[in-house]
Amino acid sequence: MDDTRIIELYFKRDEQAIKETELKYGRLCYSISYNILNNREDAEECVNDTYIGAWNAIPPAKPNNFTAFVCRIARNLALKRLEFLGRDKRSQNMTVSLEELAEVLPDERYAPDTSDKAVGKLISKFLGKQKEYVRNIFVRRYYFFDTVAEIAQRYSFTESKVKNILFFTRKKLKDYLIKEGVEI
Amino acid sequence: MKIPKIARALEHIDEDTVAAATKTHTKTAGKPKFKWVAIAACMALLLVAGSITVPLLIKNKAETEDGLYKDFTVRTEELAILWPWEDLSIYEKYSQIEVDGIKYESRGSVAAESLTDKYLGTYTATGFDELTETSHTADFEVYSLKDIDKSQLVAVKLDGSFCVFKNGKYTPPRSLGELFEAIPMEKHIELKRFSENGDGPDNAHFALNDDGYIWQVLKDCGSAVFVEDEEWSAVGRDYLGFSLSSDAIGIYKRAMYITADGYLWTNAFDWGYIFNIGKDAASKIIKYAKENSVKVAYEPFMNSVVGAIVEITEEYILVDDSVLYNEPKNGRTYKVPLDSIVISRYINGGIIEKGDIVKLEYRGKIDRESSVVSCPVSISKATITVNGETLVFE
Repeated sequence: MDDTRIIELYFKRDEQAIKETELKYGRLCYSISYNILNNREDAEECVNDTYIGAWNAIPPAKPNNFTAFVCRIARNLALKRLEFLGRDKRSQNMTVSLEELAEVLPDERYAPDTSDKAVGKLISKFLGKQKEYVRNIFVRRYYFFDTVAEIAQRYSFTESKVKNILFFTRKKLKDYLIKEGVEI
Repeated sequence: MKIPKIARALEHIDEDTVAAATKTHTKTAGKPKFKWVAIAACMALLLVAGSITVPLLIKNKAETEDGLYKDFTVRTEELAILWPWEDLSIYEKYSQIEVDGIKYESRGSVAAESLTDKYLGTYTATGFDELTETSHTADFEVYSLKDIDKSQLVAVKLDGSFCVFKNGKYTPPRSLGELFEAIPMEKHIELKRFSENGDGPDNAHFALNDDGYIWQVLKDCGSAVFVEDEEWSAVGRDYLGFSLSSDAIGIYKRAMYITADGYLWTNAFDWGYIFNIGKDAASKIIKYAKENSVKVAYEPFMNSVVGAIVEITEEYILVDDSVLYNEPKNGRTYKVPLDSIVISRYINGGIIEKGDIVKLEYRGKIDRESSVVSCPVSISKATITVNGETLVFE
């Protein structure tokens, strides 16, 4: 079923909306959650919470991009859960990803009064200027938290090349955020 | 545990960007990106300290003979890789073009725009993807080259550069005069170096002061007939071997022999062309060359840098050759731009990685200030052995 129809079901408060969401986006939501939480049960619980989150949000929300909408809910819930569960639950992959991100913009260097939304918009702008495959690799790594091996396989690159692309993209992003005054 | 704020901020990135990353097609896992052909078919012994092709132009020769280098040998893997179509340079992709009934073949070299003359039209070039066994065609502008008969050589504009293509059919001139008429070599080739009775490291090598007289003698031999003799060889004859390079003709370090018994032999046009110029003309050329030259050191066919890859960036790689020195501090780090696909495909394909020992061949120069290597043409993994032990870069 296409996304417009699924959203219509949400607006009609038809529970079929959740079934259709599960059918179409269940695996994607699970992979995001599992990448973040590194635990099957926690990830499944997170995916169920994602459906509830979508149910509660639509309406009034009417997402322009339903794929991104459910991904954002799943990611947000999984990160919150990870924060609650503590360090020992983290996968090595997740630890490295978060460390890499923290190097780009450490919390203590966040410019005062800068919202996450503003930083997100700047990152979007930066990614918009990158080559398509660079943009996708960055998003797969730091939004979906895929491993380097998974990304390499997805795009038929070597792991070495993926690491290289990520390294330089982080470096360029850091410079960009400093230039934009977000990182002090 | 604490999640960095930037990870939260990423939640707000553009929805289309997120959605696009979910839709990227996952290619078949394990499908090889390239095909190795006769992998490591042979390991060629290449260099010995003292006659190394490490860029001596930037080193003091006396130092090289004075224990500066380790007593090493370098071996490179002779690899033939069938690259996917997208990893081929435009010159590799399109190797044939037909212009007014003549089939031309690429010489794989580029001529400056100033060497081109008239626009001849747009023609269809063909290429063959050996990996998938499919043919490709594309249209390109074709130009004549200054002073050169278009029936022999043309320039094809590929990606903004003028690539030299040569008539692929064997049509030797009947005389040396006919060859000069079609391709005035004296205008496009400068005779700078020659060697005596061979061009190896053990032969005597010379730099010529001026080549005008030699070309004049050869032009005066216009009636020298073409000799069709497949058995002809310079071995056993006394001769001078001149090095021929020309962007317009599309040749790099080809040879022209002038033998004391009166022959001119050259491979500048792919097939061996032999002309009987006579003993008198030959002796004039040999005498002049010997009297108007200075002895110089042997120069390898291709300059190269051997060392370890210490850094890989999007724009360049750094090759450090300190492993070759007794005192590593004497080493130097060379910057190799990755703007040519013939080098970058090795890096992008993961064939060569940081920490690998490599041999890089280049046709250009090494800038003294920046250590940038210009015109790199090939890169391959290498093994350096010192006193029987293989060096490992750490």
